Amino acid sequence: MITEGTSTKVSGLPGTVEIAGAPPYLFEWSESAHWLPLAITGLALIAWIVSLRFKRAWAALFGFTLALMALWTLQSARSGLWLPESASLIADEVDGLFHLVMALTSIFYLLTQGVLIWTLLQPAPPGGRAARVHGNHLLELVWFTVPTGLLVYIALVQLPTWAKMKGQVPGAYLAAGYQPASDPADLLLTVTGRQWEWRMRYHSPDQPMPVNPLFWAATPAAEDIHAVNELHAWQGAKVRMMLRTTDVIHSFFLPQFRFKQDMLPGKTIPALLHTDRSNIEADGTERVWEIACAELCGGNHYRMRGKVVIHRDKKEFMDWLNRQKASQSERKESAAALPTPKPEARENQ
Amino acid sequence: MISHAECPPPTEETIPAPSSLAMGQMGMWLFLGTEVMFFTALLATYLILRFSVAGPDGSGWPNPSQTHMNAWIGLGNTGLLLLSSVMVSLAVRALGQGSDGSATKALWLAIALGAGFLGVKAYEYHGKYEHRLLPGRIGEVFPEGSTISRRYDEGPGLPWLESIKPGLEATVGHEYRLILGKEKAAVPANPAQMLDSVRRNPGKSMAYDLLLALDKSEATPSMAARSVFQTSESIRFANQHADKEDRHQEDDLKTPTALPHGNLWASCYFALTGLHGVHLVIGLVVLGIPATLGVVGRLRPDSLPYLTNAALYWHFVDLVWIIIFPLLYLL
Amino acid sequence: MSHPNALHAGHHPGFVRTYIFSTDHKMIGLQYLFSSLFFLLVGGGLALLVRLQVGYPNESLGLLTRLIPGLARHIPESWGGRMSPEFYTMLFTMHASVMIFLVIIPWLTGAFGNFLIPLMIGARDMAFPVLNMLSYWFMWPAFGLLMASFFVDGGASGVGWTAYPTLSSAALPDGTLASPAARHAGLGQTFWLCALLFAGSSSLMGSINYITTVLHLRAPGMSLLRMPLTVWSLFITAILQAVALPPLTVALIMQLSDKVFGTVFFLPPGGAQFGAWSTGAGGGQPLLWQHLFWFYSHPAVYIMILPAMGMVSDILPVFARKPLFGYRPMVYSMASIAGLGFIVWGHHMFQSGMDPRLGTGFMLATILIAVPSAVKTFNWLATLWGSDIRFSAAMLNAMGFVSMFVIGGLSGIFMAVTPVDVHIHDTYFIVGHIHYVLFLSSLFALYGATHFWYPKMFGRMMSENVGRLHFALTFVLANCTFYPMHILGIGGHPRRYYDPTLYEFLQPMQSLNRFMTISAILLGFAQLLFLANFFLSLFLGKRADANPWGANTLEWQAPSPPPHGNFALPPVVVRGPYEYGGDGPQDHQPQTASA
Repeated sequence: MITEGTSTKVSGLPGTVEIAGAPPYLFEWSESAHWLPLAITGLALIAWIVSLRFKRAWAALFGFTLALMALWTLQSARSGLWLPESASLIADEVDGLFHLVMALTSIFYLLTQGVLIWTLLQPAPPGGRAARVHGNHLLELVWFTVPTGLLVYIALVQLPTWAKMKGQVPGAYLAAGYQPASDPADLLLTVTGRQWEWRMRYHSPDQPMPVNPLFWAATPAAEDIHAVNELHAWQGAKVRMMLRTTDVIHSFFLPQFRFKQDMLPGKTIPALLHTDRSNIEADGTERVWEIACAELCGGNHYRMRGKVVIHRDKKEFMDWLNRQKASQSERKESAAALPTPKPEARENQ
Repeated sequence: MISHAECPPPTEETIPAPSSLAMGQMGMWLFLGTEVMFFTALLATYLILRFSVAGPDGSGWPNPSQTHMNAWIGLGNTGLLLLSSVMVSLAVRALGQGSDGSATKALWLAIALGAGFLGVKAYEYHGKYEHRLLPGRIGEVFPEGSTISRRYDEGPGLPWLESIKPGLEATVGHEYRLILGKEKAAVPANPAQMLDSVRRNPGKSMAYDLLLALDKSEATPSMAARSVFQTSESIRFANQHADKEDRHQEDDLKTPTALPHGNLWASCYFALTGLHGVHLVIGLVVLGIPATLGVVGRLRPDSLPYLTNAALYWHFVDLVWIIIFPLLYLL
Repeated sequence: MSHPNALHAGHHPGFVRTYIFSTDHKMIGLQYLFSSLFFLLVGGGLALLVRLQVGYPNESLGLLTRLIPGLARHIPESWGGRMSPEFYTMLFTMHASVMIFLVIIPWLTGAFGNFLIPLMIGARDMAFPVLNMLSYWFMWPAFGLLMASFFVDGGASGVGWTAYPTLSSAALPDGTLASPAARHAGLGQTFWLCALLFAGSSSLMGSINYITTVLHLRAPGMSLLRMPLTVWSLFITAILQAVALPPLTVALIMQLSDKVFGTVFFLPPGGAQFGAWSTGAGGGQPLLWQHLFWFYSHPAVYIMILPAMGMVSDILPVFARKPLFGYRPMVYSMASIAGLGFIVWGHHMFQSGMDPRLGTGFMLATILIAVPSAVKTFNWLATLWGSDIRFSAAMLNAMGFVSMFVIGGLSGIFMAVTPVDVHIHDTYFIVGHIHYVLFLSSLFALYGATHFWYPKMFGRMMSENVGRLHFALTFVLANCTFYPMHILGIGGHPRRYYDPTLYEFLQPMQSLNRFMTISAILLGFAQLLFLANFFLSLFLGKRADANPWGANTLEWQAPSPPPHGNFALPPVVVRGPYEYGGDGPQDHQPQTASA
């Protein structure tokens, strides 16, 4: 079913972020996948052959690998094989942290690789004998304190984002624990994972918001609206999701929201999603945002695909919800017309 | 500059020659260190599981009388192990003084005491089996109307509901069928009178109601578990005061038990005592070797390092029990 | 291979006692080495099958079923020659289990630990030779059970090497060998648990032996701070294992009893339901397994990297002809990695439903553990600075380690930043990271160490040119295979997906996946060069003298290969292990007084 689709879609690169004025790519992944590894192998072979005569050729091998990585990273960032489109303010914050760490680690990486390659190229020490140096207190102190300082900075700078992600007030975070912050949500739903689908149950907006969402999550009501594998909300909505599972651990992964949370058997885990962008274009077409499962949950783990629809406003969302409600009551009536089925006999003896 | 290149060569006495005795002891201590980690993890698991079960219905961890844990039996067992530890110490001392005869005697006494511990444990396990206090086979009591309770009714509780049927049948099956007229009585009896007598016995009364509900397909596992649990509790309470109030003792239920957090309790109980028991059996084998050597007259003072290590291990197993006992029987 | 006892006159214990149930630490080390090499092939083959599926999810693998007997069962014609998703889960589970428990840990601590510790500290043998033999033979039930699990009903375990309940443990109250949770979580998973129990017992015996040996049997003058870093690292690793393994043993026993006896340690209250199937009543906590498992398995990452660091620290000075820079900082940083390693396990669980406040604590510890790693890297680079490098295969592999460990370390910082980890957790970024640490770091160190100590093990040299070619190919191809994984992960590609093309946002990455698959196949073939070099050199290699590299440490003062008992005269140590370079008559000064 997908075989034909794949090749065409791959070269089309849906979701590509074109950067104006960017130079053309050096190579296209889809076309180079097969010959590039062979070419790289060839280069390694050449480096080896040259090294038989000139041992400094090993520096070229290390340098070449470094260049390849740099190229890949830049190429991927340019061609859209990078962080998925961001759909919320918190996702922007996460991306900011990601790029901060990326910058710092890149500097360190280039520094260490530069030194390593230099040591391969350096002239032989005078007399062919290196000095018998056992260490240097000052140097040790420098390369102990500088990384420590940077790492502590990284540790501190991420704290507010983590608190916000977990739906908490940053200041009161250490005291607050896992209880959801008291700010009211616009939309409440449970997401129940099971092998292998996501079952959503929306709290009916006609009803007043329950005081205790944990209690609501445990007690389904007749007015609730059900959906399978579809997460709907509207732009700007604060969505409170109560994550549950009936069988094994699943992980609810929304790449565009930088959101991921395991569902733990026997527990209901509250989570907050603040949607800031819609994936419905002005002409009504929809950019596909997907739900994936990120924790191995059996053979069909890869099939727990769902989609996210963030409507442009609450009205559009309510339209969808009402349609869903109508079809639900239709199904209920037709089901009521049938004789009640006997509870199924258990398969295990 | 850090320099440690040229240090004066050490003299011979700074590095004592390794002795196999010291190495053996060190190996043993290291092994016991890993054993400490083993039982730490096990006991931590037990404590974490136990103290995280404050149920929403207020039902806490099963108390010793619900689980038929007799602290006196545990205490007696502690005494047995302590005595056997003393015996092993005596054996080590005796062998150190060159008296292999008394060492052998002490060893056999220690082994007998250890075996006695296992015997008492076997008696205790038998009691758990009799009361159907086995992990995975105990009816769970969940808060009424909760999702957990609903989930339990849809599947996980069904095997237990199946398993109590023979017990119900044995308790009141005959009367039940007579009262409902499903069976012709040899001697004509008054159903109302019979029902009245069933009602006077709490066990029979509960079994009667459950059979009725089962026949109507109304019985759910959580409902059955609740009534079994409540009935067994009231029987237990009544029997505690029966002597004082001059009443006869009520019969215990013939059905498998229902107990809030019962399965978790049974899992922890069997894991803790079972793994300790395995260590004890290994200890018996370890002590059995010099004891047997002693019988054939080949226990020599050069077995002392071995015996010292065996004693260390035995004391450790003893120590573990001293920690397990209060956590399991008294807490 | 020459007879290891040939030099020890008057001592001929016979074939079985020499080669099979040997108590000689060198023979046991070699036994570990050979079995690790065999399982490297097995694990590598499994990895290639995984890559084939991810790279070409919709294409027929019918050809393979003709090449590999027994595979036809899992790649049926009825699936159009494609493997079933369950078989795929089994492949990556077993790839990880084999590589971690049967290759890297036994190769590092079993093979090199056994071979090197007594030689490097100047001892005649281990403290407990019989225990040592037992520790090797306890690996065999593990080998046997893991291999046999492929052929049992339902196949090998397919729940990931982390074996998270309830997927791995769900069972009916009276225990069942066919799990409702996953088809491969029945008998195969039971075998897996038993195999790990055996492998764990083996490691425990080994670690008790190593600690005692290092503390008791050092040659006169070999103070702790004169020990080569290899010995230090193996010593610290042994302590790590002794502390971290018992909790895993407890966890394995509990999962086993959940499956077999119907206990409920990891089954939540109310049980779990799988369609019409349901488990028993439950009452325990699935998260508890993760805590116990990672309490071992995070230190296990250090168990798999610390000895590699130690051996690289020994190889670099020899070929740079320059002392190791900062010996004491190196020792202290290894010790602090080991210490901190015990309080960072929660960083595997930021998304697990654990209290987010705990997450903050684990984050801080995780961030801090990067400091000693950075210190080590700078010290290695400073060792190379201003030196006259000799480009032997061993040296190249060691430098490959230094270069690649930096990536493995730096990519770890992304995961320590909790908000970023939320996005990249359980994506290919993690897969890339772990392979930079375990393949491109540990395995490079192992290749380097094998080249380096081969003459001591067998009395012959491995081919340098083939070794260098193997390094060149492995270095670039491994980067081609694993570096793009980071990019996939950044794009949100979840790991363990049988068919990523199902997702629109993953389709653009499929060509990258193919690129990695082809690189991986080439990489796999390049490893055959190493194996060929290894086995052919046993017979064809140049004869080696006692100290072919001009190294200082004690093992090079013994003949190659060392006889039973290692040293003719007990060595007396007068200096540290890294006295290279300088202006003396020789460019190295061995640790013993006699030289």
